[in-house]
Amino acid sequence: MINFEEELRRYQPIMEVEQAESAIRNQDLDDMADVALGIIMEAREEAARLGVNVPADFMQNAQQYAPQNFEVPDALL
Amino acid sequence: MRCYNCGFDAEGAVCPSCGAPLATYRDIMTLSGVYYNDGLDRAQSRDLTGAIRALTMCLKLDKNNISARNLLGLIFYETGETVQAITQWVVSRNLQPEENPVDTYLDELRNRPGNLDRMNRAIKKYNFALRSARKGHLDAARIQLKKSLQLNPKLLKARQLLALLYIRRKDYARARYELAECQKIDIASDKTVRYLKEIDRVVREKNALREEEEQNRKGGRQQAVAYRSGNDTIIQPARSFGTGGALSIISVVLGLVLGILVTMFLVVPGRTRSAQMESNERIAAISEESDSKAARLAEYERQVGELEQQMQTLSGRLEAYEGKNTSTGNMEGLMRAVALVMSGQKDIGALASALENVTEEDVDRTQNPGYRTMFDALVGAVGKDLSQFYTTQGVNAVRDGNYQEAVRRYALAVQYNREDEDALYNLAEAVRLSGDNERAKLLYDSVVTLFPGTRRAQDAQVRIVELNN
Repeated sequence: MINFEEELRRYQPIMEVEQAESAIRNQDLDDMADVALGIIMEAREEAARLGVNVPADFMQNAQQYAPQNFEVPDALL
Repeated sequence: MRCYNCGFDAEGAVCPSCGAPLATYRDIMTLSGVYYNDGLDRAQSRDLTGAIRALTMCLKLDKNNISARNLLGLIFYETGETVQAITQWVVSRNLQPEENPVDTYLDELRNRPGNLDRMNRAIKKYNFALRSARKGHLDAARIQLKKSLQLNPKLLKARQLLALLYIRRKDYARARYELAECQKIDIASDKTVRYLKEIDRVVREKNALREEEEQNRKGGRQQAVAYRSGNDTIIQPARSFGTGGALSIISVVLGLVLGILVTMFLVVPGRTRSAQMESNERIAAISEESDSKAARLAEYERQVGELEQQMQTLSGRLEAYEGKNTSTGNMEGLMRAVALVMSGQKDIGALASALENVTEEDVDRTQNPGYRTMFDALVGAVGKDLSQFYTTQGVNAVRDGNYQEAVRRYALAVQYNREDEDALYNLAEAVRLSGDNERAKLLYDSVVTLFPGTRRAQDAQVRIVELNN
């Protein structure tokens, strides 16, 4: 049996067009590769701190995969 | 496959360029593809809820899967969630700016701003309805949801909420209709399926209750007693009330009490509810009207601002044209004067009358070099005579104590003979007498500068000293 009050609580407001810009900027875009790279970068920093020997060129470009800032077209918003 | 770390096109388990391990990454990419295919299948069979789940998982595994992201945006657009759709499409275009089919969708939105505005208004009405429903204003919420669906019939959440409100009112037929419409958009939405099950359950229970009542009614008939009286068969309930005076009185009293109770518990609350519904609907209508009036007022204010600006611009232009017309009109006097001179007449009075309203400023304002040439020729021919004529008039005006007129006349005398120090000095005197000492000082100063060593220059210097003291 449906409980009306409880059912009503499950409904959420829909985002309006005025909120589109912040919605785009706050998109969580991390995928599995980003998670893996984040862990590897953390490991490299930890290795430097603890003196663990990690090859200097090992995944040296990882930092280029930092989160990106997206451009929102003005004409659209 | 491109290495996720350096972008190198690598084949083996490790990237030969940067050394990043690729075996697991390859599995992840494959899994992302599996989810995309599943999402596509579901979208094609109108299972949009399932498709959204599959495509979201696909993008968690590989954010660069452009096809999945574009499809997810399309599905959001189909369910009326325009902002979610725009978000996915903008991200998609940023991830792949070239040769991305999403440009078509975004161009479509940009080229039809009215469409986007209509969908946004539908969303606003849904949000308003949700707030109203949470505050208990269910009738107002229902009205807003209907308006929202008029603007965008595919706004799934609005339709589901409307169905929920109908279920609350026990209006199962309408609720079922709305849910059928929901299933045309998304066949497998959890909410739609659950509400339909609820309606089926309630209807089943009602039917069962009705059958039970029917059976009870039939059972009651069997309990009646049938007997024959002559040729007639009489059917009489097994237990019948006896007849008696006291029983009749009790029945009447009981009827009255029941009548009062029915009025108190059924009629009065019904009326109250009806009044409340009416007031809610009126509030919603007033709120709607107020919103629209406020928007119209803002639009009118903007238009008034624009019109005022236009009016100022036009007024400026009109003034410029008027100035030009006046100057052109005065040039007729100049031409009449030239005609008089050319005809050989030496009537200075007639000449002065023709040139009454002609000033050098007017001549320059026409921006017509022909008028300037004509004016200079006229000054060369009869300038000294005209100057003398105006000087005489200026003297007369001073004598009459009309200093403003004297200033005007002496100014014309100077205009037609700039080499006459007497004319300039007289003008300065008339200005001083009219009470404008500052301008008089400037004119005296001009006399000293332009005609040094003359008697008028000495007089002017004396005047300057006097005025300074």
